[in-house]
Amino acid sequence: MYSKVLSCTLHGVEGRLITVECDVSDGLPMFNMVGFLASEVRESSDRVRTAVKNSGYRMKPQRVTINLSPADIRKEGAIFDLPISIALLSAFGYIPADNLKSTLIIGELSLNGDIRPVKGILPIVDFAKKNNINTVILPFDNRTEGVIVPGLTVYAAKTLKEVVNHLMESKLMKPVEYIDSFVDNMDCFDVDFADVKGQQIIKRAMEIAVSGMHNILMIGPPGAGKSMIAKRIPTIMPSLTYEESIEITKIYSVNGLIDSNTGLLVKRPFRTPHHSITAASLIGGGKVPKPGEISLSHNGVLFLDEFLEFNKNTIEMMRQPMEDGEITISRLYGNYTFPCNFMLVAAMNPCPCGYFPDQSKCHCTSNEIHHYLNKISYPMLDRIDMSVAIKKMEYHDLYQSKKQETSKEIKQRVLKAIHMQNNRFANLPIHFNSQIPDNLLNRWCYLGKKEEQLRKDIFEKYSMSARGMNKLMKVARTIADLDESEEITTDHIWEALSFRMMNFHNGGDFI
Amino acid sequence: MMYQDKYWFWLLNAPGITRQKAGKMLDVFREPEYIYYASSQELASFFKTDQQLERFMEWKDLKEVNRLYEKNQSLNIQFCHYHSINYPKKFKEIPDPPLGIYYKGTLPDDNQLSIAIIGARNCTRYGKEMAEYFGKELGKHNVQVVSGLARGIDGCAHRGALLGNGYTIGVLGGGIDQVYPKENYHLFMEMEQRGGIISESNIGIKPYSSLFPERNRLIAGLCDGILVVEAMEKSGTFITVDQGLDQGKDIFAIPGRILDEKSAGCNRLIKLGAHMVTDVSDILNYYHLSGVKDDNPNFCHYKEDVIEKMSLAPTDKMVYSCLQIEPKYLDDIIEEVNLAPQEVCKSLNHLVILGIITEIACNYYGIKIG
Repeated sequence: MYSKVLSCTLHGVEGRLITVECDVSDGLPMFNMVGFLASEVRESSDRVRTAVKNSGYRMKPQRVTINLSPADIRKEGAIFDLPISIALLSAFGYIPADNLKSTLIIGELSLNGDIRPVKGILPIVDFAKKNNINTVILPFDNRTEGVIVPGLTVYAAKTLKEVVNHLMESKLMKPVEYIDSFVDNMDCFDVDFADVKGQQIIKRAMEIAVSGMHNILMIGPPGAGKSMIAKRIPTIMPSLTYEESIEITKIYSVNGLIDSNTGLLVKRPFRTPHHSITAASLIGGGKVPKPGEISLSHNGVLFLDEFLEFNKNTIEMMRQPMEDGEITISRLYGNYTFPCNFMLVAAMNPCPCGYFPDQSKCHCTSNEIHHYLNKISYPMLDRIDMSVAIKKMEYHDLYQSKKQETSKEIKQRVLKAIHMQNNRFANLPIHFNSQIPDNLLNRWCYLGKKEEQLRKDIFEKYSMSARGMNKLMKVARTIADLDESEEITTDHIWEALSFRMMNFHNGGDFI
Repeated sequence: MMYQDKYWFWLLNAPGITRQKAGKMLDVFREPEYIYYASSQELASFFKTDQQLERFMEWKDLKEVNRLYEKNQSLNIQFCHYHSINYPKKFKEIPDPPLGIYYKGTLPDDNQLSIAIIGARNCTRYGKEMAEYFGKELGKHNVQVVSGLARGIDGCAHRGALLGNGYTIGVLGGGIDQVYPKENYHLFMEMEQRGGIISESNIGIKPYSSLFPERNRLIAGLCDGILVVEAMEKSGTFITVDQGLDQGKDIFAIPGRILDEKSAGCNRLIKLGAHMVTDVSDILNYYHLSGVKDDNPNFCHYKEDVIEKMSLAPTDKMVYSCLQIEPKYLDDIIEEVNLAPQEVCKSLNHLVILGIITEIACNYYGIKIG
């Protein structure tokens, strides 16, 4: 007898439909599996047979052929154990074929028939929803992640027997209830900008950076609070939309970073990879490519502490994905694309000891500083719009009683600036000031006579490059947006100048 | 190139010929030309081994010398020797004069006053500002500024002299084509155009540390007085000072705080009898230079004078008054003047464009002298 079960495999962060076919016919007792299988899928024949036997179902000694189609997609993972066993039992006549229609089944089996959780549930249920498959049977431990997508009937099963009984007599299990946890948990951060005492200039810089999605570089001594500030950046970013949240959760799901308690991710990601990171884990990779840190910080913040300690080549790998907002990794079995739209926050020390230009503490020679700064990846600096210095807090700063601005208050202003940009860039492929292409800069960064004169003065005094000037104008545009002003005034340019990207070349205006 | 010059070039670039050896040979033969035509028996006494003599004799094949000479020409490098007309007269007065020098740009005017401005490579902002200020003021008064084109004080002194539209010459430790340190590349280029670069070594000689005391003797030799801007108790600067004293030059020093280790060397020089300099007119008057205007700033209330002269706006005035020569962080300035960050950023950047303060490092500001 022939039977057919729907299942799904992952390709990057997207699902692909897999049909598990099973045929039982007379002949020598055999158990054959075909369909471009990885070894872990091939091994599933042993798991399936034992689990079926231990669940109390008897199989007659017959010739069994199992095919996973389409045959040109490589199948990987233990995700097919459950669909294979269901197809097998259906072929042996335990389950009526009609009950399997429009039902997507996934899950790993243990030898005693228990169903074990698998990775990447969200992309699979999302795929089911998009392809009008309205029922999904998945492992019990994956249930929270399984109900993220509304409009699906999701059954969470603990054992193989449960699933078979359900499919035999139809609907013994109850569907998992959909809980809308999205809005409730949003914006509940356990950190806040009010925790940062003083540091007015950094806070202002972060406000501007977030408003225009400008990548930013912090320069300061160890212990100044660079990581503390970076960690608080997501709290002033606009709240995630449902679509964004799904995008992020899919990536985390594929990487197996979602446990049975977390459903949809409702906070913007904040990732801080260590500087020993390899290229593969930063941008994504592996035999079967997995999203890297840049994708895990999609729609959030990627914080690179000790920027100069990162391998230069690794850092430079980020250039193209940063420009495109996605990374495509090519491997033997196909091309995998992961989104990676993130805000880069980098932090570095100004010199080897970290205290330059404080002459009382810094004993680095200018030679040492040059040598240290030479580790910078210049092409990468081109993609960073702003730089700001940070200083270690003094006692009176740390223990002051002055009320600090909360993230909520800052966020209000950021939202206004983003609103301005949304209006400006409506129907355009860009969303933020940082993305304005250089050739269109004049259209949105129009300057009056006075401003034009100031730009000339700045250009000459700071011996700026054209690129540096463009960055300055984009930042000034964002400051004007925060001011809710359509025109860029001299005040905006003056302020942007304080946050201009340092020119490190040969010490540049740094030493 | 004059007829004789070729033989000088040939001799000074010969393998195994140091300045001392060439000097000894010239004591006997008087002219390089005679050395060229001397037989190997005549020359044998100058060489320790036969190989050395052999190599020297091979050098008489002029092909290689010509190639070297052409290369020098293509790099715009000029050569002058002890008997050249343009050989700096001041060198003839020192005990151990260079026999030949290579230079780019122009050589200093023998009749003009020359002052060497020297100091530590690893210096403070005070030192840098002072070097630049004195370089600039001396340049303005047509005093030629001599220094070593090194990091720190040297570079600042040259830069100052160029800012003051004066003549300045840098004496190199390595070969004439060696740009060291690299970060002074643009300074090298500008000095070639508007001043001069001079070295006792021909192209290709790396700037070994052993060459620097030799270089210091030339710095001292080219000037009339030596101004020490900033030096620690132990510093290479004192090699130049000692050479200068041996050559009978005047020593000037800028004082520093007694707590400041970077100024300890200068203070010791003053204690030992160097002329203390707190103003550029101290040097100019010492040499009875005419036309010295007495509008030099009084450093004690320098900031007040600038505020008055520039007629600054109230916020700019407040921000400027709280700055010092040592760098101050933006947030600290905001706190001190108690204004909105935007206001402070605006006036700081405005002051930078006016040229009375500088951004020393990212978001750190300090006042600028001169």
